[in-house]
Amino acid sequence: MRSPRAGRVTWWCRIADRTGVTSERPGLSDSGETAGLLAWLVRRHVERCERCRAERARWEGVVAALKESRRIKAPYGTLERVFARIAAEREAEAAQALRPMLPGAVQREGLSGGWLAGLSLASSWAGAFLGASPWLLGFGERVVALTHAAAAMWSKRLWEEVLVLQHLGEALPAAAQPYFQALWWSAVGCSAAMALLVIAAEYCGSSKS
Amino acid sequence: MVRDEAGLLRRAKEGDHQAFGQLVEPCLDQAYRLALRIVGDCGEAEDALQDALYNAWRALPRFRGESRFLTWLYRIVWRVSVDRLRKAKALPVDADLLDAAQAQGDDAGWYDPERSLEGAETRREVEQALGRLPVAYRTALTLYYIEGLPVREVAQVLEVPVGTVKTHLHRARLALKKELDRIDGEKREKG
Repeated sequence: MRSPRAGRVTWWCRIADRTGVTSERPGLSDSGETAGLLAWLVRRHVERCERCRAERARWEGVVAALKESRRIKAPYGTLERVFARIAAEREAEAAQALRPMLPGAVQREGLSGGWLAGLSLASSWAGAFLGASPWLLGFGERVVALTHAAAAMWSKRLWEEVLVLQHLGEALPAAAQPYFQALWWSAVGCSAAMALLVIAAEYCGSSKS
Repeated sequence: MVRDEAGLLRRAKEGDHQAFGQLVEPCLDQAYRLALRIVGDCGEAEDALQDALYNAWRALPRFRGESRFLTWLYRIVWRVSVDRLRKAKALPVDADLLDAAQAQGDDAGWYDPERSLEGAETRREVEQALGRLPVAYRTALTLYYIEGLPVREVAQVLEVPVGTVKTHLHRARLALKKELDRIDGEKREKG
């Protein structure tokens, strides 16, 4: 893009350059840059001056070349990636809100499950021991029967809790899933312990009879 | 169909991201072009645009409607892109990258091969010259001449007084013409 060489540079030419009249946006009346009487006078000069006309034509060529870049489009899927980021952030915020609550819940569930399992196990072994001793005949069977009933009841209840937890877990955000899984497996473990106790109690009862 | 921008804005402020999508979709190309002009790299510009849109989503409840939505979005793109530029110390806008980006645009839409071939050389020179200007100058030129914003809105985007924008534009024009003369001189020396 060659600069115009024609014509002598006058004071008005310099004013035209300075006020941006030779480089106005093509076809624009409100440039915001040049207004009023001075602008009118300068425009009048530009219309008559060969050098300024050439300068303006050159600038129009520059602007036309710049405007070619208006064909550039934003990459495909930009908005979708932003939405994904917003969704991930919402999930993270939800998980953040759950975080202080979850370890407490896990602790409580674990404690109650462990306490129940331990109590049942101790009762079962005590029942088996008492049932086996010849001088306490009759008392052992009662303990075994009691343990059997308690374990069966707790096992059923725990299993129901496990199913409820599983449904709840599906609705939790991804970041909360590890906490939930810990809770779920603790409940499954307790249920398995209860089932083993039932089998043990059954075995003790049948071997005694 | 007339776009209910006020309605979309209200819904977007309430957290409806679909409304936000409809609101920003017509501005995406302009915002990307501005980011590309500032950071000078397609990948960086894409990241800057995503950051800007995300920031816009977060800042939307604070948008009071004192300026056009597009102007407000431009301002966020400007801030994010300049921050990225400071961190990355990116090179000036590469004319080849802009060609590649334009080719993508051509694939996606209208394309006139004859006009493209005729103007390719000029465009390349102008892009090269523009890429060598300071970031504030090339942003002012981009917003004013390419995107067609009035001086007042350019001032809102750059967060400077109107007089400063006029000075930027004047100096940018001089610098661009000087660069073009230099490129022309180099060409003549080679030729």
